[in-house]
Amino acid sequence: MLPFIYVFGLTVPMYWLAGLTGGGLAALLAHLRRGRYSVPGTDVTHIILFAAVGAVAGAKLLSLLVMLANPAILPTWRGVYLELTSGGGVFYGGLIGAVLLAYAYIRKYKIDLTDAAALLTPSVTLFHGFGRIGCFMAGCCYGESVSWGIVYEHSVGSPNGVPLLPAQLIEAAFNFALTALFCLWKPSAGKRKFVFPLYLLLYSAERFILEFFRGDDIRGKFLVFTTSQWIALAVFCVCGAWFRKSTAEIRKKENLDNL
Amino acid sequence: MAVAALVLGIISAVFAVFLPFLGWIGIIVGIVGIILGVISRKNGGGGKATAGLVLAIIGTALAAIFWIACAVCISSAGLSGLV
Repeated sequence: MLPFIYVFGLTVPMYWLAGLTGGGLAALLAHLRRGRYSVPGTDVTHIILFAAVGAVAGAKLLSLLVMLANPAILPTWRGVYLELTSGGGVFYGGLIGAVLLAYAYIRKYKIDLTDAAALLTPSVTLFHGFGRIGCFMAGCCYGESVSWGIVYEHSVGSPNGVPLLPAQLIEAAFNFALTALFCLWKPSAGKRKFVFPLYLLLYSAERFILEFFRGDDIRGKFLVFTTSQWIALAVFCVCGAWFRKSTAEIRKKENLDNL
Repeated sequence: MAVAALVLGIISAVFAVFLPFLGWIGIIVGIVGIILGVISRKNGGGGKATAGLVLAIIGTALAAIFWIACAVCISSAGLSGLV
């Protein structure tokens, strides 16, 4: 759609610009919502920075792994260089990297994990929504060909002149809806532990379904599902099992209290 | 550690602004600067740590944008859609 803008003769990729804008707004949102939670402002900033470093590293690492594992792509140094320098990355790799580094910080400095996760969940979805707008601008992560779709004319990441399902905008809208949901929902201290797992559950379900309608074929695929679908399936099963266990424990406790 | 964060922050900003074609060095240096800046602030690094952290954030962001812009000039085929 608009892969680059030109500022003072410099070519700036919209993918990165959207990502940085989303990152800034996500940090702002976390600070605006901080009052309800027991996480100090300095630590909010630090956790976001650690998560950002982990997200970039994880997204690039998994995208490289997918590329190297794909028999259709012959790995070359030039390919690795292009993959590292492009705007692309695998979202789940970024999420895993961000969670790992943020968790390391939270553990090291003894911050309330439940509060931190509940506070930062809407920031994650907001950032991801902007990231998908960046994808839409760049032309990557597009959907399958549909008659009513969006036609790219100068895209470097998608076929030009073909009407395509705007899968990026669908995912962006879903993420913004999740942001609104998690901002409006004000869980009590006892229910805050459900916020991040609920996000993982909802997002993995959405991603699993949307993957069937993606049109970009140069993607990691194993047996019948794509890499992202396998990860989404695993995340959904683990979170579903955790929810079941946790709600059963709460019911059991409530029954004991009522006796 | 605060001084190290400050130095790395300055180096990443210099790479971003003056040597964008070597921006990957600026990104790596900036990321290390961010991590050192954060740890230093938690250990009472004060103003130097904060200045280093801010410079490292700005340097990393600018280095990423300018370097990738350079890479895009070399080959726009980089956006491979593997996401």
